[in-house]
Amino acid sequence: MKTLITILSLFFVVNSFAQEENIKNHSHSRALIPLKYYKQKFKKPLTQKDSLNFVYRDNDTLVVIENYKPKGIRVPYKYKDSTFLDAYTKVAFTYSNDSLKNKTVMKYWKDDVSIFFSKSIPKKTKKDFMVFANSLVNKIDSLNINVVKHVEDSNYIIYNSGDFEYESRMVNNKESEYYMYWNGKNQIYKTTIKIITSVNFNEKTKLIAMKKLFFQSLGNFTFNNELECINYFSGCFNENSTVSNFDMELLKYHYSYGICKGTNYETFMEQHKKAKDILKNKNVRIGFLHQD
Amino acid sequence: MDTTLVKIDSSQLSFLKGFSLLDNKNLVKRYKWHAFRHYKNRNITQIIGPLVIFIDSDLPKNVKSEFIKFIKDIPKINNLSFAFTNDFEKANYFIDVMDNEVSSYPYEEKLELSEAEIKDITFSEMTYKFYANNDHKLLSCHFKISRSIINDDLFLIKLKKGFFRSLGNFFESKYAPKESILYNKPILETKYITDYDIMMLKYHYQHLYDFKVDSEIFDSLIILRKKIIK
Repeated sequence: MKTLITILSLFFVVNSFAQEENIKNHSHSRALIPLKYYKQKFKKPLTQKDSLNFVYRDNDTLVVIENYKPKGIRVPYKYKDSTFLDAYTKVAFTYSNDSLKNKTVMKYWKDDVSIFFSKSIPKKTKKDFMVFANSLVNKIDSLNINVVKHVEDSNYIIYNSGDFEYESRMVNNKESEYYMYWNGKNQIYKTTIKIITSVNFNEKTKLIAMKKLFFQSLGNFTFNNELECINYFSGCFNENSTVSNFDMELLKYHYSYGICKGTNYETFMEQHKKAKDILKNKNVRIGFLHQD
Repeated sequence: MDTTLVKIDSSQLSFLKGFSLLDNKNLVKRYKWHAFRHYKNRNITQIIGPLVIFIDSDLPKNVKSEFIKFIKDIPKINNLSFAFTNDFEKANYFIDVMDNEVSSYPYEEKLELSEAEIKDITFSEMTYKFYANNDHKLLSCHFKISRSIINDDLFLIKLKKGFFRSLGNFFESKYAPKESILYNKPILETKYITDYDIMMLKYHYQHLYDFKVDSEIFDSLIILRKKIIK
């Protein structure tokens, strides 16, 4: 499903270079929008005047909109080389059996993450966990975490098997896992980690599992065993694992607004191709418009 | 910054120069059986770091002391070491006597086992559960034992066999020497770890692989080794 944010981002991609032309010839703002996105966004029939003003470019039919003033924040496209993108897509989109599926979607947290720990989790474990969690989040401007005392104030719960069953969908779990909810924009709005104490039997092994699951839940990430073992994203984690500079680059990129958020793999790659082509051929860095 | 992508490259295979055990066809065949059996998708699983073992105090004292002696008798193996702890929080290997019945067999399957089979099968009343990372390295192991069997005659032998198998997620075989821990029946002659068992451990821990190794890749390693030493 193409989300609103995808539509709006593409909108701005087109709009940005349309304005480049308009500055010279017109005193007002004019936007060119691909026909298929126009239909999705405006949901109103095209007039005869609209049809007469169609612009044809690169096999796309574009609709002209006069006096268009989009709301939101424009962020310039963040350029990354193909090697980086290869590593990124394999962790952010579902990568299995040596292939990426076009329709798999990247997910991210939009709101602050408010963590509630169940009573059975000792102070020291909580403290050690939060040191790790903060080490991930502190360097990402658009992601914040905090600890709350009441479960109703949380959107992230961590509990052990044998505790109150905070997530009914995990009642039969045999492995320590997380369960995640996201909205239509692929923004994660709730996650629960359940630690199975017969597998992760002491605090040391519970902490390893909690860290691993929290790390993955920041983007429903898949581990990529093509990466070197020093990187947490490689999946070679152990009790002493820390986050590498490359891990941080990937995380920051995931939460950067210089890319489209919540898109599927196909759209993500199309946008990169378009952005790189424009950068190369017209020396113009396009931007992404984020309205929420 | 530089990205850090790797595939299996020559630097990851330099260990093959010293892996002379791969030249022994007979033992390689046996090792492959214990490690993979006939499963194409089964990967080698290795324990990383020293094994720090916590033993449930409910294990009978004589069994516990014999079992500890058995582990201490395992000679030094590259990349594998053992320690015991009384501090539960320091352990990454927990030998646990459970009040409920445990088995590596699902409930319905176990019901179909005869008494003789239950007696012969190592994991009919024990099981173990690994916690591994995504690189097939084992971070911890919970070894579970049904309380109902801890006073049985064959229990100590089964415990030794079960523990040893967990070190490499090994399969038993009727082709292993009868005295071997990896022989497919618990017989009273199984008292000590044999040279054969030690060889199998050496194959398994010669190198901690930083890539996935199934039986096909293992065969490729054997071929590469031959090319390297030509």
